[in-house]
Amino acid sequence: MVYATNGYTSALVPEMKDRIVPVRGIVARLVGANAPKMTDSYMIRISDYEYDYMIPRPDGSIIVGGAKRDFYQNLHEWFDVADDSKLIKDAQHYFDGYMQRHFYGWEDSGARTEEIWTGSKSPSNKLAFPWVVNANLCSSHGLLQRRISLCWTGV
Amino acid sequence: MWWCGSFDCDSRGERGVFGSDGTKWYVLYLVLLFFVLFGNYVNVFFIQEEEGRERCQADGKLIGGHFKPDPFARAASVLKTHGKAVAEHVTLFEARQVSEIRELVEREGVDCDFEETRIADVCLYMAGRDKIKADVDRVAAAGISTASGITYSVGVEAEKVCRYCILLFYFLVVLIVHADIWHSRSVVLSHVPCCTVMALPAGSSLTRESHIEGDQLADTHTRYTCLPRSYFLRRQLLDRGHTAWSYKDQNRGIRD
Repeated sequence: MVYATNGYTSALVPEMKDRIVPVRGIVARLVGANAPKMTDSYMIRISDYEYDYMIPRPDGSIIVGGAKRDFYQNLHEWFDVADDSKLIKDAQHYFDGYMQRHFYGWEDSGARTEEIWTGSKSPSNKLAFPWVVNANLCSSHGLLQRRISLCWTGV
Repeated sequence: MWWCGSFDCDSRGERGVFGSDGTKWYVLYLVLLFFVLFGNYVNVFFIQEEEGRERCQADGKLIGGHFKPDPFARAASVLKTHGKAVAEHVTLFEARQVSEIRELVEREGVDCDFEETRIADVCLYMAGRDKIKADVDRVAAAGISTASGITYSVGVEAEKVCRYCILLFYFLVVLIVHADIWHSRSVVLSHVPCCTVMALPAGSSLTRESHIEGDQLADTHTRYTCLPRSYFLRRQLLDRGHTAWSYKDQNRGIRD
């Protein structure tokens, strides 16, 4: 079996509980009527525990995730929580004016948060190498994340 | 909560896939390829969480996978623990993601948005900058092949390259936590290739190419985490020596 289910993995494969822990994150889509074309992806590291990650889309919109600054302290909001049906309210305005604050040439871009949603990431507590577990194959990957939980198991 | 159709794992195959985004489809593709290459008949079924897909509709109903190979941090870490050969192998393995995905998209004519970009890694705090610098230096000194693709810039030069700045409004917020940011001008930039593949059409295309359609695709509106244990798919090692999957239905009892 291939479980490519992000933070849901431990719900489907109880053996992976405590190994792949669901962690909620928040992502927004930014658009602007006069937005300059962005060609690079950006990782913006703000501290050891906080970073934002931006991906330009062909239509000129930008997908940006992160915003930990606004919800990191509230562990119950994000750690070991797989419920991505509810927005992380503390961070719902983090991306408003984001481009104007951070980038030259975006001051009059009209960039705004078009959509915002919560997703479930799945950091593994074993970062450098995949999990090797007995019996089947299981993979998990997350949303705009750098840590990829991956476990390979063989029959 | 419901499964789309009367889902029956046993009749659909011995290998199943949960999930649907870009990386997952690529992993799936490799798994399929592996079995095809080794001549095994593969009967595959898929389960996608429909609501999860719908929740990502902000991105034009496309679920994306973004591949960002790490050219220095993991390599530097592995260098310390496993030596140069392993570090080189791990780093090249990651770096190959981009070209492999590109070739996959071209080879299979996958109908998807595929974009290659560079990644600008911007660090705004001094300790992070120093750690990145040390990692980049260690990787370069060891001759790890990806090191040559990294451009390292600091301060004004970095700001020119990436046009990134911290406006005063934001700086004041950050200043409280990291008072050294402004003075150190600790902006670091590195460029490595990465790519994005928007995967819902890619997934559909791959399933088509793999001749997987119709009753082998099962969408569910049941959230994975809400699956009652009575619906849970379990692996059972049978006495006759192979793996089978059983599907327990809340109303109909256990199917084995």
